[in-house]
Amino acid sequence: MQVRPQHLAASIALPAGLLVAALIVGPMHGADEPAPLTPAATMQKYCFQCHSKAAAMGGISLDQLMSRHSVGQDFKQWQKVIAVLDERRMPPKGMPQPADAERSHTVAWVRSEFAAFNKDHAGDPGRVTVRRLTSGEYAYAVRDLTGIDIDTEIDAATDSVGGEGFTNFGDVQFMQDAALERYLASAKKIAEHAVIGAGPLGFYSDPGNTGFEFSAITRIKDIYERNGYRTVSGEGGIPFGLDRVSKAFYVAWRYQHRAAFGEPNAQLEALAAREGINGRFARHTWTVVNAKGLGYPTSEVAARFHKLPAPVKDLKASESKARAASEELQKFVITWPLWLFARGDAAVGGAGDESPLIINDKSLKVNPKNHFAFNRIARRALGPTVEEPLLNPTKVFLNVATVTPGSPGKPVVVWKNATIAYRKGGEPPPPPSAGAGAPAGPNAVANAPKGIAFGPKQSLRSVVTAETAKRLGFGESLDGSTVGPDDFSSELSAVVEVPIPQGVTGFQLQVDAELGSSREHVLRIVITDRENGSSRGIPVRKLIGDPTTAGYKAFKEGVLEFARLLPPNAQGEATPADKDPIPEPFDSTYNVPEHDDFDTRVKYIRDDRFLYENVLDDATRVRLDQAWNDLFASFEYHDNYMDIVAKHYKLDLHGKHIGDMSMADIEALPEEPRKYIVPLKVQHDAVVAAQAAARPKRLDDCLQFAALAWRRPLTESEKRELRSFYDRMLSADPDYKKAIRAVLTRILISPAFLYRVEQTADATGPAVKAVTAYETASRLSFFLWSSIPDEELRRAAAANELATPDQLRRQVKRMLADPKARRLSTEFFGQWLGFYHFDQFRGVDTSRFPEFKDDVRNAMYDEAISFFEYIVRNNRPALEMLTADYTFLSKPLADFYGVKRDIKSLDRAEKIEDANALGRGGLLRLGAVLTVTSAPLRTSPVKRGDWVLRRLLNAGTPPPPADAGSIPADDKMFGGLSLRDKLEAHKRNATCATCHVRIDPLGFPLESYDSTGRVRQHYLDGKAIWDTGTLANKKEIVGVHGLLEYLKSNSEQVQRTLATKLLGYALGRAVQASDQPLIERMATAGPTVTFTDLATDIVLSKQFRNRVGRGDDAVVASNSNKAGGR
Amino acid sequence: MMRDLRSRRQFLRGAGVALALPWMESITRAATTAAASNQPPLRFACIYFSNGVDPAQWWQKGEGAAMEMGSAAAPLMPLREDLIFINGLYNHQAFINPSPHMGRMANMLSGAPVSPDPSVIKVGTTFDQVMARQIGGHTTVPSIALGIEPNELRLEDGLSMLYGSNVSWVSPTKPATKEIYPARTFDQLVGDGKGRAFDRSILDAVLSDTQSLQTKISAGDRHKLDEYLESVRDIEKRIDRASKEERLEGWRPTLKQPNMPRPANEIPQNVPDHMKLMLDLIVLAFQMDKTRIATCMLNNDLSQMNFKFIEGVRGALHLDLTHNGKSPELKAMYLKTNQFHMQQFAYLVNKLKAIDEGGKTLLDSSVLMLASNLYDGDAHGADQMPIVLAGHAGGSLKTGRVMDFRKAGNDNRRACSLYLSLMDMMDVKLDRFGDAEQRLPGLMPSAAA
Repeated sequence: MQVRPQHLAASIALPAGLLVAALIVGPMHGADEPAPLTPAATMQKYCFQCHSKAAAMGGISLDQLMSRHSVGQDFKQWQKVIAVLDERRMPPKGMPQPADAERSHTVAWVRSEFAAFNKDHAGDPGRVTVRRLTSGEYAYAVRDLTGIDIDTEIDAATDSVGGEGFTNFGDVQFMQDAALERYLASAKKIAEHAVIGAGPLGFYSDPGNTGFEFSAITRIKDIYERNGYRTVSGEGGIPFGLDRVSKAFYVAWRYQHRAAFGEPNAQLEALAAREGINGRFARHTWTVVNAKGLGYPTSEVAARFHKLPAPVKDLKASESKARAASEELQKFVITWPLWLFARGDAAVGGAGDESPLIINDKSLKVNPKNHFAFNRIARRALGPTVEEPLLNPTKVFLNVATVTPGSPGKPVVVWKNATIAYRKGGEPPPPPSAGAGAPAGPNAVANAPKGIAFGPKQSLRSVVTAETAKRLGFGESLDGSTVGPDDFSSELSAVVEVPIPQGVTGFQLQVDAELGSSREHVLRIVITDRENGSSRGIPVRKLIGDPTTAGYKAFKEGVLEFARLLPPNAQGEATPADKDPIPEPFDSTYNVPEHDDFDTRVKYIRDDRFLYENVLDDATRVRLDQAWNDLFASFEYHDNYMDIVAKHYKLDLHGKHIGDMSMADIEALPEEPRKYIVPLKVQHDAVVAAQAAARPKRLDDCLQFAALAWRRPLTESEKRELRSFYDRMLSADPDYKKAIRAVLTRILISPAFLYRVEQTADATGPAVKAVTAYETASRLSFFLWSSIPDEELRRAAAANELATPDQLRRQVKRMLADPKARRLSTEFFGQWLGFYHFDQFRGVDTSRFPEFKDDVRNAMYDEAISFFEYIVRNNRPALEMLTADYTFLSKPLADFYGVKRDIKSLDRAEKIEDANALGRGGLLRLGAVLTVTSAPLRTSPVKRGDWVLRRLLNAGTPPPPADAGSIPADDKMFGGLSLRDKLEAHKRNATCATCHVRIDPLGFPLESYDSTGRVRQHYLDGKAIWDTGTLANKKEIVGVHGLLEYLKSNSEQVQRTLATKLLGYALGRAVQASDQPLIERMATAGPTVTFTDLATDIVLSKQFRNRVGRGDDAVVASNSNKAGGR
Repeated sequence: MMRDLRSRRQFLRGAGVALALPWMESITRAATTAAASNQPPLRFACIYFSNGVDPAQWWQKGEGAAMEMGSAAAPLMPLREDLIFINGLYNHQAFINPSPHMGRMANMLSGAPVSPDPSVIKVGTTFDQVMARQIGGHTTVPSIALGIEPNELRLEDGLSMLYGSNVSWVSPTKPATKEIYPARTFDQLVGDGKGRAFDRSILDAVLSDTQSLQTKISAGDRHKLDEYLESVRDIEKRIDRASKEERLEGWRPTLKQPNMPRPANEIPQNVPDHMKLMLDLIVLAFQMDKTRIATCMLNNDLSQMNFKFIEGVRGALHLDLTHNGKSPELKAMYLKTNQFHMQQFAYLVNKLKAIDEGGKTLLDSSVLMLASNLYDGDAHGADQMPIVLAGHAGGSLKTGRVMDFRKAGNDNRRACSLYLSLMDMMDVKLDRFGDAEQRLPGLMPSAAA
């Protein structure tokens, strides 16, 4: 693999290698001019004095370079050589200079040697040492593997920088026990976050059992929220998902009329999917509205459905009509139970009435008679003690509705013993002995609000006007039932006009309501001062009816049927932790011991029957069951539950666990508690069985996890080994979760995870090998995402679809548009441009700059990352990073910069247009860049100039001599001199000048930015800013605009730097001679070439897609990149 | 298996048979050394500070109680009879390296050349790590490498800041992992290894994975995985050592349980507190005999440590205070940083001096070294290094002296000669180390005679 043919070097009795070529390729010349020297002789004459083995100044030893077989070996050194010759920086002033022709011939000769070298070598993969994941890659990979953010504590202490200046360079990485201890601790920590139960292996932000429990709740909640229906369930209930009810009716309607829509074969489930609702729910709704023999009120729903207008010619209009009508129907379904229980305002948003809406035997219980006490108290509108008088008369509506339409006979209520007690303004509260609100004597008022006193009771008949009395008809019966002289009766509602004497500010109406003679009716009574029947504050309402009648029984069945068949308002539990009401037989009142005990020890109840049966598809049911199973298994659920049942019934279970109890033990319990304990036992045993059945699946999950973590399919022997490891761990400790965590830990500290191991190199194989499909997937994902491949990359690798240029192009495009490409901005641009880990930057003296707070610093970091992220993810021209007229600011940063723009975001940066007008935009004006290139107390034109030269133009200078001297760190201590004066003095020293003449002019133009990146008008001492740099050729660069122009005129070199850095980053090695053709192609691709184009060039390149295939070091040596000895 | 071995050992001891079982290798060797019998073992610590001293204020003269010194070392004055000031020693490879920082720092304790190639991290194994490898097996933890500032990731003058962040190197290509978290160090010292059966099983399994992987990859890659394997084995060894910590030697550490609370997980906010904790941990490690070899970097080279915690000082150590442009105000601040570093060393010496180990202080059984790689910090002067020794090395070291090698000729003033002598004291005998083949003349009584 040597470039120069062996015989050529051997045939001349001179030092072998390049010198030979340099001697024989002397330039052509005419006979009359003095013969210019050959390149070899030129170097010997003008350079060797300082740059040969004996001297080797600047670490360059030309005689040594010339003795090599090819320029490829000392690529970077030769590059320096031609740069200094080209730019006439060498030989130094005052030394003999070669003739122009000799200079150019020498440069041309080196270049031609490079060209010759690349005929054979262009695109060589180069040696890439196995790389350990950097701390950044490790964190991202863990994030992508687990889906959660875990502080792994693998920090930059394990990193090391090399190659083109990146941490992903294998040669300089190292590993040792203390580092491995951290990986071990981290792996164990990650494994602690694993959720190991009935459901598939997952990870949760909280570790251990807490995480297990929370993960289950989160999964349950997620399913409920995605599929559930709910308006209100007790305090704090949040309505969601209601629109699905109308969609279900609409889908049923649409299905009914499928032929009219020209889709006679349309499937119900497909129509449901079109509307975004579950097929099962649509099917259920369709079945209900078409069911025969429905009771009221479901029958009413079905009837209304069938009254939805059939489609007419204008299908579009028909559709909208049907949608609107479906929404009306939805309203009926939701509001009917609220209406039934007269929940009024309270029912819609949960205000006022905190009790949950429950439809069951208890809530539907009725009596033929009920006592009501209705209070009407004036508002204290004029102050806390002054009550506003009531209107005279004040109407009280005795609102009655039948909930059994069609029952025989008149729906009559007999109102008995109606009394009124008045309250006068400022009347004192009852004496404490009487107890607030408690009846204190025969005439005392019942249910008086606390602190409110009423006068004595008088019969209603005695206070109302004669006209009212007549209208109410005291003593008259409407249906033959018994009516006393002070009683009256009404068919459905009645209105009482209560006269309000002078100074009365409130009253209480008490009355017994009794069902009339038609006993089949069930009546809903609301006593209220609002004509529409709604109530204010605590409602006074009740159902009355005769529980022995067929009419009542049909009613009750009908309502229960409705609750069963249609999505109820309170669809069970929106979250498993929402415990209102607690179930039978416990006391559901707040703040009683039993309620609290249940809340804290049992915590969850499963009540999702409707959702489970009528909505969820089979796969979701499985996931829901698994999640509930995990939740039950995450603590002593069933034991706690049983314990509370036992307490309730004062049973002594002798400390037995539910798992220890046999069915015979349970059979021996008294009937009442047994009713509750039997299902508990059944559920407990099912949970235990399901957890046990899941074990082998969790081990399978581990193997899948390993394939993700190791970025390739596992070999059979690896699978066997992991399984047998699991068995070994299990035999040492029977806790299977521990064994699973051990397997996970092992996977995560395996070199297959920690290192990017690629295929075997062998002694006999081809010199260059294509990387495999899975390796390509990894190379892509680590390059563009700093992490493991995602599902799509794995799929493509498995299908061998990472082979053609088009396939690769598609992936690059997809990946760079993905949010994960932000990591490229952090990792690549951050390291290249020096703002990596800027969030931890401590180089600003905050006692001098107290306003440089952590949030400002973090916002600057975000600004820099968001800026490059934008260029990367939006396929912007790469050079826009210089010229962009936008930047990314949050409010704290905008305030810090003194930017007057309306920015709302307090944390995440927003894109700000027309930024140049604000003195911002582009990489030169990034706060992070300007700050890292400053000293703690002042700006440093030298650091900034060096940054431009080194980072953007890829032209470094040697380190300053050890005794270079220094400039005070604080510009307050310059003793009247300006920073410029200080540096000028420095430059007069010839040894300093060579470099500073190149560095300083690139730094001064940024002087109008202070050491924390803010625009400034003058220095601290009030002197004007000097922001002009003078180049060696006397050209001036004025201000940031001048510097931008200068860089634009050198944009090809900036692009070359980007290409070089990006290639080095992508490959994880330093660039070498054989990379030059690719880099040149990228550098000269023109100003519109986008970042995506450049990344694609690299991904399609030979070096990216191949690796050294043969283990022999000869291949490696001929193309390595040694900086050479000094 | 452990139980078997133990009973077997008891059997052997009962039978009066002296058998060198492989796992007892180090213990046997320790038992054969003369000092080991009933005497406390020797401990070594090197405290590093960066950016040198103010040359005008760094001078000492006289002996014992009559010793005088310049103000840079003022905090050491009360301890003068326990100290040896050594001036004029240097590392040739540092001196000739063109990189004023990186090239003159990482080789301080090895005297090795620093690789100029950014693609190759290479310097030399430092003498503390040479000792750790040879005698570190006596203790649960072979050595500790502590620091205050984290590793930095950039290239400086084209060289990795890794060089400037690490004074202790386990091999030419890899620094000893520097611990800056007090809690992690505490756990490492105090953990007994008995609860680590779980870790042990995982490491065993991983070891076999890696070995099978090793056969499938190229030589260069194999080298990287060797490092990994070595690390796995190192941890395993440590777990084993910790779980069967039962001494055959006559001497027992005076402290069985830590006498300080476990530090908080976070790094202390304030630099002096952080340093004090790290030094306390060295004392704890020595007193419990968990390790006998320690290094501690009070700061990194090119330190960004802001010294505003000292009254009247403002700015970062390297850029602001060391390179002070000879401004008198800043020079005064720089001098205060010198004194601050001396104070830290004095704290350590005083603490060791106050611990009684059966008639001898812990300082009597220690040899401590305080040094910076540069002399004149502002000029990056690697022509000599400021070095202070403390402790009596079990009685063999005569303190209360000033040794000046500035005029001794380059061959006679190599820092590596000092390291050879220090290793001698610790019972690690080498013929040569770094650029030196001779011991430092005059340090030890035998050499002086």
